[in-house]
Amino acid sequence: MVKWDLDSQKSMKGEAPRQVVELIAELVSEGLL
Amino acid sequence: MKIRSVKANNRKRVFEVRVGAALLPFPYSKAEPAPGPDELVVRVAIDAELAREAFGFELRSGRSGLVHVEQVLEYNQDPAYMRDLLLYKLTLEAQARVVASPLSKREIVRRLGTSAAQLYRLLDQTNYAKSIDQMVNLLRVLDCEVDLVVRARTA
Repeated sequence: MVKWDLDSQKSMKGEAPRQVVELIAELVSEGLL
Repeated sequence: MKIRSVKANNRKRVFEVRVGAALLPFPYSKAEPAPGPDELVVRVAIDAELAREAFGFELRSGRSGLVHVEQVLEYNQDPAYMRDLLLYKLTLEAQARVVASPLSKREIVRRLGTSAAQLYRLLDQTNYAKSIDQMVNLLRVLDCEVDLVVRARTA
């Protein structure tokens, strides 16, 4: 499990695999996060 | 942190969440979707797929939502949670200051009187096995002052 800081674009807990980071970026660009 | 039990109290309009030994309230109004003033929670259950770190709820209208334990801890200003948050903020600040500092990492290590591995542990924002003292000391080496601001809580 990863806890992600959307403001700093950094993991707060756990390690985020590249695919997860890309998915988060995609969701942010679509305004869903 | 695992949720041990959760109950919906429709009279007080709060979820009652047992985390460790503490029973923490989490108001319906803070949930997403927030139940309307007359809307009742008809089902609440710990989410095992989320490692018991969240609970799901269902409203009479059929709408449903999920609450993570960190939302509950943050709402209740849990001391351990607040400590980790403070450590995280100090670490992000230290990371930025190291980049901006004219000091080399080797010099920072020397001034800290520690090892390079320890410096990297201090600069790892996902590492919470470090103390506030160590972070304040690192920031001091980076020529920073750390101040504390205490504010009255807003609604």
